[in-house]
Amino acid sequence: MKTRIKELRARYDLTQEDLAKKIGVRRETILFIEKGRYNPSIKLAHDIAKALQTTIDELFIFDEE
Amino acid sequence: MNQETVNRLWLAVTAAVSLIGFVIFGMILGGSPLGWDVHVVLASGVFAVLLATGCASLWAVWRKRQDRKAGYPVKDEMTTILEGRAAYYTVLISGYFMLVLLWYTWLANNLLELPAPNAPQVLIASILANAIIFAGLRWYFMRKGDAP
Repeated sequence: MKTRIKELRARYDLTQEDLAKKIGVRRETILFIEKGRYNPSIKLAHDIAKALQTTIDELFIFDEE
Repeated sequence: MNQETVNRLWLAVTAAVSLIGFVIFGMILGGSPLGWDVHVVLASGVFAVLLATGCASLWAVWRKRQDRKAGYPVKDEMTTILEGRAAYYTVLISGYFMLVLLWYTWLANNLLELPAPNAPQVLIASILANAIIFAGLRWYFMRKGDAP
């Protein structure tokens, strides 16, 4: 699974720390999600999408394989 | 000072304190380091491990306080899931370890002339193995994440 979190963070000029604080998670969690090393729950995916003013569909790119 | 530098500094302090503790304790017990026997080295080694554990615990508490001050939660969804996974594997591995220990104790007591551990030794070994396995697995999962 790939994400557009980094791209959208850059658009809103947010660091990983800013985003983590906004959602109420640890910095490592954002880092891991960005790198595809952690699959977030629907709730967390929703919170991230909301913080970045987008939808889950737009934020996460699922490989068909 | 960034987090990485602080972590390295803590590691250096922990190593230095443990080493100094090892040497001083060894010198109190056995005099000059050249004359130390196995028991002095072991006793000093255990003392150094105690110091290192103390330093590491202080560091963990300090980091948690810093995170809390900065507005981050100490635990979140990811840490809870990964710690849970570490705990699950710890139970499995520790169970196997205890089975091996049971087998060895039974063998030592009944069939072979091996040094048999007594109850406190078995208990301490089991608890230590449990703690070490959990710490190792937690560290591993926190680095790896949950990706396949």
